[in-house]
Amino acid sequence: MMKKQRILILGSSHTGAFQAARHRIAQAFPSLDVHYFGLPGSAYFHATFENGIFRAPEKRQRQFDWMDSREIDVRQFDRALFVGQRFAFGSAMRLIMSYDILEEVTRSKRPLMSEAAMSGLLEALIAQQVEGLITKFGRDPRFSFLAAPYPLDRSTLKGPAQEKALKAVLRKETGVTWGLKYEEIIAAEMAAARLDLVPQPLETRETFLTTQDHFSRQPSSAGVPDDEVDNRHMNADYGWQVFCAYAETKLEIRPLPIAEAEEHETGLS
Amino acid sequence: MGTPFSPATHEWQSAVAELVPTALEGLYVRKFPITPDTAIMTAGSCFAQHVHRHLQDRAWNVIDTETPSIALPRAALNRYGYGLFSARYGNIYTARQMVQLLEEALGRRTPSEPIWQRDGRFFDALRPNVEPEGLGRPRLVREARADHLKHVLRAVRSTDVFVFTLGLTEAWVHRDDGTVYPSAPGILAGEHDPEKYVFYNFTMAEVQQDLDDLRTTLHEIKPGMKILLTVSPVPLTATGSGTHVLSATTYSKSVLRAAAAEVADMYKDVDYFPSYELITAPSAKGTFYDANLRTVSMSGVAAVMDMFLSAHEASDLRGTSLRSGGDDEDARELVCEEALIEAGRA
Repeated sequence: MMKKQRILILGSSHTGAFQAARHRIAQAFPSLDVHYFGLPGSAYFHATFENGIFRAPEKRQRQFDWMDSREIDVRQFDRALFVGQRFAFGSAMRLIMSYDILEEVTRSKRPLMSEAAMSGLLEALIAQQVEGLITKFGRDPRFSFLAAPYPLDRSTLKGPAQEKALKAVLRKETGVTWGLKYEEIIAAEMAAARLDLVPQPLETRETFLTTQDHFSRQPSSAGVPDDEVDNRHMNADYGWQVFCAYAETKLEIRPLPIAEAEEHETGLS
Repeated sequence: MGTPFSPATHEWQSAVAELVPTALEGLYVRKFPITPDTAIMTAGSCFAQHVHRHLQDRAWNVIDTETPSIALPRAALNRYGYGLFSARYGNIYTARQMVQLLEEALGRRTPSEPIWQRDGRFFDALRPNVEPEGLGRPRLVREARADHLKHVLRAVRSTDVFVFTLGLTEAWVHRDDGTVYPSAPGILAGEHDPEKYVFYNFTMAEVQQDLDDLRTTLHEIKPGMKILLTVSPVPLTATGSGTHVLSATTYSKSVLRAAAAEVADMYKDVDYFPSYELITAPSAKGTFYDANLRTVSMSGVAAVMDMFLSAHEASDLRGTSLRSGGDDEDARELVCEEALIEAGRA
C-alpha cells in the first residue's frame, strides 16, 4: 500500500473552514493524510516556530473546540499550508481609499497621491508582511501560504461588520485596478522572497476583492447580535474549494469523483 | 563676595567644562510651555526631521496633514516625503524659503521656474525630493503642488507652536523674482543656468527680516501662534560661497544663531531652543556627531530631545505613535538633499 502524503493545514481561525470540510477532503483525497491545527488570530500570530515546532503562546485566550494540543511538530509533514495570511489587507484598503491618484482622472476631494507613491507604499507594506513570514517560518519548500479570504460581498452593504474601506475601494473607479495591483505586489514580493503563495481561487470570489456570500459560515446575519456578525470567516464549502485548488496546483492531485470516493471509503474499490 | 557672572550657569568652568554634555543645566529655559497636547508644526532643515519624528513617536500632538494615518514602514513614507514634517514640503533650509511657501499658499506669490526636468520626468523645483522619479507631466506637478499648498495652510491654521529649524544661509535663487530653491539646479533635477539662477548667501539682517516676516505671516494665518526657533548643528556638506567649507559653516551658523536670538529677544511669542549649542559644545568632544563629523549621532539627537522634554516636564515616554511602524535602521536615515551632493561626488 502506497504511503499517504502527510499534509498539515495550520493557521488562524480561517483554518476552521478546512477543518469543517475534513470528511469531504478525506473522502476525495484518499492518498492524503490531512491534519488541522488552528489558533485564534492573535494567538496564531504570536505563536512561536522553533526547530520545526509550532507552539501556541503560553497566555492563550481561548482554544478551538477541535484542538487538543497547543503545539505541533511541522517536521512530520510532507507539506504544510499556512492559512490566514492577511497581507495587511485592511491597511492596504484604507490607504487606497484615502487618496485620489494624481495620474487618474477622477477626483473625489480626497488628497492626491502619485501613482508611484501609492505603489511604493503598498510594496513596502506587503514587503514588511513577507519579511515577517520569513523571520517566523524561514524558507522551506514544503510550505505554502494562503491569503485570508476576502470579506464576503455582503460586507460592503450598510449594516454591522461593514467593511467600509473595502466598500470605498470598490466604489472607486479604479478600485479593482488597485486591488489587482495589491495582489500583484503580494505575488511579486512572495516570489522575490522565494515563498510559495496560494491566492484565493477566483471561482470563490464575487468581485475581485470580495468572497461569494454563499461561502459564509453564518448564512444570514438576521437575528445575530451586531457584534457577532461575521463577514470574514467561511464555511466548509469554501474550505473544500480552496483545498481542491491547493491540491491541484501544489500537489498535482485532483479529488476523486463522489461515487468513486464513496466506494473508496467503503472499501469497495 | 559674588561675581557679576553668577549664577553658576554663567561661568564656563561650572556650566560647561565640569559637566557631562548631556547635563548642561539651564541651557534651555523655556519661554512658554509646550505639552503633549500642544499642536506642533515642524519645518526646516533635515535636522528638524528628528524633532518631528521623536515627538511623533512619543505620541505628541505633531501636526501631519498629508501623511496617511495608517501604520506604514517609515522608510517608505519618507522616500515620498511623507512623515518628515507637518506637510509634505521637504526640507526648508532658509527662512526666506519658508516665507515664500506661505506667501504662495496664500495665493500672493507665484514662484519662477517651479518645475524642473530630469530624464523626461518633471519635478517640483521647490520640493524635488518628494517624488524621487518625478511625474509624467508638468500639469501633474502643478496639480500636486496646489493640493500640497492647501495642506500647508491647513497645518498652519491648526498650529499652536511652530518649530522651525534654520539650516543654511546659502541658497540658489532665481534672478527674476528671488525664488529660493532648496537645492541647486542640476543636483536633483533641472539644469544649472547662470542666466537664470544665482548663488546667494543671506546676511544676518536679511535672515532677521525674513524671520520677522515669517512671524507676521504665520500670525496672519493663525493669530497667537508661538514660534520655537532652532539652528541645525549639521555643518554644510559643500559651500558655494568660494570660501573654505569650515569658514562657510561658521558664517552660516553664526548668522542663523544671531538672527534667531535677535528675533527671540524681540518677541514674547518667539523662543530659541539651543540644540545647536548642545551638539557643538566642546564638552561633548564631538561625540554627538557620527564618524563623518557632520550628521548628528543618535546619542546627540537623544540629548537634544531629553533637553526639550525635561524643560517641558514630559520626559516619560507617552506612547507609541501609529506611524512608528517599520522601525528599521533605514528609517534612521534622514532625507537630506545635502547628502545627495555628497553621493554625487562618490
